[in-house]
Amino acid sequence: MDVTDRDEGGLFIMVTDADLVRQSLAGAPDAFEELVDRHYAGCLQYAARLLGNREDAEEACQDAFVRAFRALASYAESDRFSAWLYRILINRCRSYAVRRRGSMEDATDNEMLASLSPTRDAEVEQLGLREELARAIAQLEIDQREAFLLKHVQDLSYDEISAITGASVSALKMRVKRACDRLRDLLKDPS
Amino acid sequence: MTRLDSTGDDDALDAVLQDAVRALRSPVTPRTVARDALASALRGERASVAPSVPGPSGLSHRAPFGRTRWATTPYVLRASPVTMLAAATLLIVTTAVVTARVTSRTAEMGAAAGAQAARTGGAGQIVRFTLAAPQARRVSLVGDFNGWDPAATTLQNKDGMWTVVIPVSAGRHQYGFVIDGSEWIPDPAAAQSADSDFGTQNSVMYVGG
Repeated sequence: MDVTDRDEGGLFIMVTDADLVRQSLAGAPDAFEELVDRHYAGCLQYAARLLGNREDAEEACQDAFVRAFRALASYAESDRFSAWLYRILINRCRSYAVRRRGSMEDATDNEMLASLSPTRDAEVEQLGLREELARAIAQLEIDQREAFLLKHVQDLSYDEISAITGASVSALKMRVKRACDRLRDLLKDPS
Repeated sequence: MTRLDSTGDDDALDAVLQDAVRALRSPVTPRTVARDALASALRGERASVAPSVPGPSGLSHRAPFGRTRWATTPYVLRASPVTMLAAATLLIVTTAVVTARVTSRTAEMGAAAGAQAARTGGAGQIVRFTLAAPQARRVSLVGDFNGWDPAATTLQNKDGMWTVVIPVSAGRHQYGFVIDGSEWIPDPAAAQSADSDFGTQNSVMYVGG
């Protein structure tokens, strides 16, 4: 989300994330708030799906944004801000996942289950997918879960995921494939 | 996020996984309490104690997070009257620049465009103005930045969508459109408006530096 725009006509003011970083570093108090506004929802969605727990996800997001704020001067504009931010977020999520290791299935709270696909609730209910999905995601290895969510939920390219995670594209493809295979098995046979 | 069915063969998802992905893509609504906690944490970061650093011309302020940033927000002034006057001028100018940020309308604009923002060289932004006016034969942009001159900035028509891209200096600006040389209208998509001196409405925009 580097540039703002609007489709239906009217005024377009194009302000990149990098502009906001510069403004924040120059002391504009609201510039970083704007970056939070732009990226919080996406970060929360990723963290919540990865961790399966809203409170952990919110804490991971808060940690990530605070750390990003502290490290803002180290952000290089050659990098996409969102990719830089996701690197920080992923590290925070890994810490929370490690803390939860061994109890990931228990970590899927009811609220998170309820948040899955509210617009297609009837269909999802009909498929019996919702709870099984959250539990299935929780059963993936953390690196597979991470790669699967970044690829198919955050809709990033393998090159972007590689830049964020530091893993090679071929390794990421393998992780996604294994995640898909495992999820398919778990969702077809939840027992 | 519309690539459910457009990934390559390696990423093709069967019906079971497509349903799973759709469910996982449903938004997680941020809770106010969490956003408030984050805002509070960030305020704490800004207010975190850093050593007070003496600056040029007798200006002294805290250096947030170890950086020294003389262009903004001097907190403590210890200087002669001349220096104080210069510092006050600097403070007024920098405060005007900072408060001339692009406001919440930038957040509501949402989706990414293909272009990148460009600096004007000074304080300001490149701004694109558009107006949907399929029936118009000519559309001009008028504002305080071009002397309200209908001949100064003409929009280009493409399928009824009139567009112009111009540099605008930082700050608060009033503007509007002139259709066919006679009909003055405000920007129908502007978030703010202001009364003009002629009993009509102008649109208002804020441009960051």
